[in-house]
Amino acid sequence: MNKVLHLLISLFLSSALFAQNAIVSGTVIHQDTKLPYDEVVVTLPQAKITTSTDANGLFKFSNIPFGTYEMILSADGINEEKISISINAENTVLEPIELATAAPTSNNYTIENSGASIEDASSQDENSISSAGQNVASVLNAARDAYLSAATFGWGQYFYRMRGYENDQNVLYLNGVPMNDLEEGGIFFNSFSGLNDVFRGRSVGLGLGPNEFTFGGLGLNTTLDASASNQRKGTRVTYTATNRSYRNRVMLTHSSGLKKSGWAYSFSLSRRWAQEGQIKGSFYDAFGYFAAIEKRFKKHGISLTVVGAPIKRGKVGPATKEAFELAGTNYYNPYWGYQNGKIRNTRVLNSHMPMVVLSHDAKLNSKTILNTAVSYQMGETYTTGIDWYNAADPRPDYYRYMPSYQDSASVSSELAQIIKANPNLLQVDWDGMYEANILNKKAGYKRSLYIVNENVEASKKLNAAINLESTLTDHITFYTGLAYQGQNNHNFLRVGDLMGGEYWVNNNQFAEDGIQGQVVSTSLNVGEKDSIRKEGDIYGYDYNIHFKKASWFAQGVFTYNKFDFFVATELGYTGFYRTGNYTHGLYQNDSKGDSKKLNFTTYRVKGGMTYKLNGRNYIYANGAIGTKAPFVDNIIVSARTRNQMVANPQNEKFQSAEVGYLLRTPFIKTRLTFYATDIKDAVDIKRYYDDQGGSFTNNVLQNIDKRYTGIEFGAEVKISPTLSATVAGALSQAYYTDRATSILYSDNDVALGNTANIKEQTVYMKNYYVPAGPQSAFQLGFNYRAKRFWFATVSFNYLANNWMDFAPTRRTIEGVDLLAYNSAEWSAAIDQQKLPSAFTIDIFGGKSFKVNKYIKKASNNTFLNLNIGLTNLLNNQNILLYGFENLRVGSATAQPDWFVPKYAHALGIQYFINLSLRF
Amino acid sequence: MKKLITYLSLVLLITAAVTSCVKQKFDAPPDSTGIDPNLPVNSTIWQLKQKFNAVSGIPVEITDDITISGIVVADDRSGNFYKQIIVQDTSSGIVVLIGRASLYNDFPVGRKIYIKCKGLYLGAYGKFIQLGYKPDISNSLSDIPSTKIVNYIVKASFIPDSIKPKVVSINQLTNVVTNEKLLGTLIQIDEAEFEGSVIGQPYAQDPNIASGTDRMIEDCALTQIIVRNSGYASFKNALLPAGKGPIKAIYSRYNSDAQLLIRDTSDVQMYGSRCSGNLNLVTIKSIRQMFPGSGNFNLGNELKIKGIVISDKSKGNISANNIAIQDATGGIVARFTTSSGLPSLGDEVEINVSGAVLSEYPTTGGGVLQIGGLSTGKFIKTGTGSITPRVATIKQINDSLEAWESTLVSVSGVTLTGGATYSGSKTATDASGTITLYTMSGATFATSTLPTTPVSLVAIVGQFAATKQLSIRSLTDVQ
Repeated sequence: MNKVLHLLISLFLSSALFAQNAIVSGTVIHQDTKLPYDEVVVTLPQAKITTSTDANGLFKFSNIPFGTYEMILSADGINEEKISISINAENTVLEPIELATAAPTSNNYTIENSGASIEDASSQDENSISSAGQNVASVLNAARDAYLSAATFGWGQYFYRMRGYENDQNVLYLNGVPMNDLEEGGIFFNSFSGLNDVFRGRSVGLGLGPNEFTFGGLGLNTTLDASASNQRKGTRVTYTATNRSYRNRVMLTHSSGLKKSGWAYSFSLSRRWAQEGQIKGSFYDAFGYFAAIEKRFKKHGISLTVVGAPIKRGKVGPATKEAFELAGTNYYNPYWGYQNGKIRNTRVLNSHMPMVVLSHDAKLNSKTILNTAVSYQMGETYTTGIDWYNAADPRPDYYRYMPSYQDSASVSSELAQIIKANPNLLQVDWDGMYEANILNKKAGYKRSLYIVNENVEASKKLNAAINLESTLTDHITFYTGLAYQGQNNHNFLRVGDLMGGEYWVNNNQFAEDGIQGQVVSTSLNVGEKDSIRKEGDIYGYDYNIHFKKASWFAQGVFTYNKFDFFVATELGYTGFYRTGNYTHGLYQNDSKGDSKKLNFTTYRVKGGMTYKLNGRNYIYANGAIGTKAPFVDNIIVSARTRNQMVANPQNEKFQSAEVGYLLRTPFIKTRLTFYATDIKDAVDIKRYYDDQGGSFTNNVLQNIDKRYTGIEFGAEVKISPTLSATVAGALSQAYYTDRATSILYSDNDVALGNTANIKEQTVYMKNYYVPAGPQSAFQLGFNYRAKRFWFATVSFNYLANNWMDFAPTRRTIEGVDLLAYNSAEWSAAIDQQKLPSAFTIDIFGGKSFKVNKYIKKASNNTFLNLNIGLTNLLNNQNILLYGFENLRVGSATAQPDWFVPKYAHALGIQYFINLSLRF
Repeated sequence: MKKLITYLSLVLLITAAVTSCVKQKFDAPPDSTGIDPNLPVNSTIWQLKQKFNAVSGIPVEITDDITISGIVVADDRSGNFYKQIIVQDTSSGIVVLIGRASLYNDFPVGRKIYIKCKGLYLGAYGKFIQLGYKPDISNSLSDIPSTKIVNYIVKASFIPDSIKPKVVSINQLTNVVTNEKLLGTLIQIDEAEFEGSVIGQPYAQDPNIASGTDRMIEDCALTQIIVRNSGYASFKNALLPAGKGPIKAIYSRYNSDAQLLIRDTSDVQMYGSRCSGNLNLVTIKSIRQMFPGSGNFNLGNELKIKGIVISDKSKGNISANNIAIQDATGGIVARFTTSSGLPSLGDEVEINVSGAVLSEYPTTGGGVLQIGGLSTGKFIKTGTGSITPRVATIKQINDSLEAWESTLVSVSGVTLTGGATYSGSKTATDASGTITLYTMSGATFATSTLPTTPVSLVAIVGQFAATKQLSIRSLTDVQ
């Protein structure tokens, strides 16, 4: 250890003492607006070195020998501007370089012109939020890194997750405030989707490197800037036609640019819609609105942004292999059915969470910047569903309706024939549900037997952050900040549509027959005046979760000729509790009022070093260690009914390290990173209805230990001035490193105090894979960029090692009880399934037209952009996005055929045509 | 101006986009419950049922194009019927087995349906004829598969309460063989009550104990019939009513037993006063006084007594068919014809003693007076209560034995002698005198050790021929 330290110090000293080399930095700005020019490629051919500007127009070279150089700048890769610079100081800061604004050619494809959108990925299922999150964020920097580009455009739609992490490891800051939700840790892109024009990336980084406003997560750290002054001046109208989750999109954006008076404003409106997406029953109806105003003073600026996105869309559900086969399509969607001959979806997502962000930045002196930002967001997100009372299960793919459930083979095959002959039997019978309600009403019972309910989360979020960035010396930049997030989630069920009946009753129908022979209270809210519910009334459950999170972070970044260092730390506090608004009949002493208030203190430390062999070759190593508070959803056993919490809640612990090599020459850009992350003492609760026990059950898993490790690789090779090739790959493994402990809290046992049944078990899941999407992915791509403002790209993708989510209860002693050890049945019951690998081909192309070439009246700045894309060109409809085992089975001997896994398929060939006019 | 035009056209474009609305408002489907497709019917239910060979019991497939129609008279709303409905026309009624839960969503009571019987099977369960699907090797029909319902059953109009039950007496129902036509139809008995011993008990036991529970109803002539209730019925925990009144039910059979199946508790309207309602309540003392001193004495009609059970059958220190009850005036033993279903210690009961026989046991040389020949249907549990034992010395007990017979007494400072255990006759002695403490050898505590130090006793006063004796109920009576 000491030797290494000595070596490092001597290396550092040598580079400092015998510096013949310099750090060169500069800023590129638009000639017309004087705003920072991002994504400009800056090259020093003599030094064989290249880089590109960031969102602030900044670029930096290290380790450049003193001397005079020709520097080439190009915004579009076609038009070049050459200037001469001379380097004669260890820290050479160049004068701002003005560059004429290039035509908006598509020298890279981004979300905004690819037609892709985060909702595409998330339309399949909630599970996809993680990959969706990465999509948006990574796109911002996709052009700079072949791996990020591949992960976003080639793999993201197949639920590839960078490094296998959950969405809570990805951190997003918008206009300086933290955006991650406190309940689940992830980012809810629904709140501002469809506004691609105005959310510009300020910075993005994967892994453990330093960040601007925050310590950051282990995954992707993104800072978005939507302030008015940073919007490109002008007006832009976009129309997109596609066949994904929506079919049409229009966007209108107008930005003033920064006016001489110091004011800037910007607004954007969008609408995306489809009467039906590519999958039946999946309609789409979304708006987005954005307005921002900003005033710049000499030394500071203040900015106000309002953003919101009312969304309504019909969901698509996963299904069993049997159902896909019966339906004859891999795009079978069990959520819809005909009502009066029209398709109606039972599961409609509705969300509208408008947000206001007020931010202020001040240049305290030439070296110090203070950013302050506050945001407030409130709104509702709900998904509809069907609730029923003393009536047949309306889910058409309910396991008892399936041929596999039938007693005899002849009945099974007969039933299969009938279903194949009448595919509507696999869809929801809306007319039948209405008829049942009407018959019931006529028989003198006014209660609805079926209703549409709404599973509501009404949320209020107050986020604030204050950040200081100070350049202490030429070599040292210091960052510190405080962040606060407060959140109150009100969760309840609401009667949506009584479907012809007159009311619903707030009763616990599962308790009506008593539990295990005991007569129990059936009230869901003991003591309430009236249990009759009409449309719009709350029923079922009603509780609030209160969250608070605060953190302080500090970071020092040290930049030298041969070495860059940084060290960062964060101290955090997380607190949450539940407030029940209902006294549940089964948990009368533990449901209403405040739960125990849990508080967690966390720390995180990270640091890293980059060694610059020369200006082109970099080696870097980063490491992090710390703790993370658990999420409320994994602590409160059954928030819908009671305040009970898991025993011994604790922080999860992590350690992470990465080592990488970076090569940047004008002809080849490469990054190779090895990473390893250990997470220990994580907790997870899986909830399901246990058919055999006849009770809702909460499977609390504790002491989950996981390891994420692998290699990422990306290279961009310039074959000729117009043709480049990209190669990207990820070879990773995310797996459990130990057995977890499991406790099954059956709601019935808890209600009756049968504590003997609530005992700890071991889940034998060591070396099982974490279901983290495809863990191996490769891409080979070719990008042709012609001089006449057009480009074309073809990429080949291969994804493999996608492991299915498994049921922990099966990997217990009881789960394999009565199965002969090591027998085929035993293996079938516990082996983790691997989803098949997938191969896809995508092509993109685009052209930009300068309109005044054709229409003389048009202004010089008027451009028409056309982008076209085809993904999954081979129309492979068998690609599985994910699969998960049914949690219902406690014992493998009990008819495993009934409780089979469910899967979701990726879409086949998709197109988009994107036309945008900018003036 | 040009700018204005540009903006206007933009606004138009956006408006167009916004109003190109995604249609998501849904009409409620029209009410189809008034429509009768008027299919041609070529058989009555009775004609259909006759195709089944009740003697062989072997299911028969219906190979002809037979269409019946009828009104649903029982559905599965309450869970007393499961995966079956009962359909009736003017001729008879039949069970239809359908492999789906919540059938009442489609086929509620009052709905007219047509059944296209070709391909279905006739079979029986306990000789009660059913219409269903392919039989298994034990000749049980399977249910019509849920996905095939539409092939066989056609829904028609829905008129609640369209079937009026046929009013009958219990007597008319007991012979299931002669009532084949009536089986599977809705009947009503105007005057019925649950037998006294089950009043206040739930309709059915928990399904963990029994899938179904038979509860007897009777008329004032004490003619009985089974009402069979499912352990899965939603009303299984509801308590049987104590009154008398009409009951509506489906008339069915299980082999030779006639049984009634209710749809829900609303079919049971027993709110009037019971048959026994005009009995005269008399005191136990007055009954005792009726006994001439020896032999058998037949009590007159229209008599009932009411008291609290002071014996504990569960401990075995009383004849299994007997209970001792006591009211404010005295005590007496009631002897039933069976040992099961008797009331327990602390129950407040009303016993119809009309025509019962008073006698002493043993019959000569002095015995305990008992009311004999009682069926369990003769008592009704009306509540619970307790009797405070009379505090007395042994001398006082010996002196007042006849008056205090079969009542509780409490004696203190008693020494027990005569053996090591309770079993048999022991001697109890206090300062005033001695008396026999008798314990039956079958009592649960018979082999317990007799205390050697003085104790307090609570006991029932009795006699066996010339022997005056006390009997404790359990060891808690010894302190």
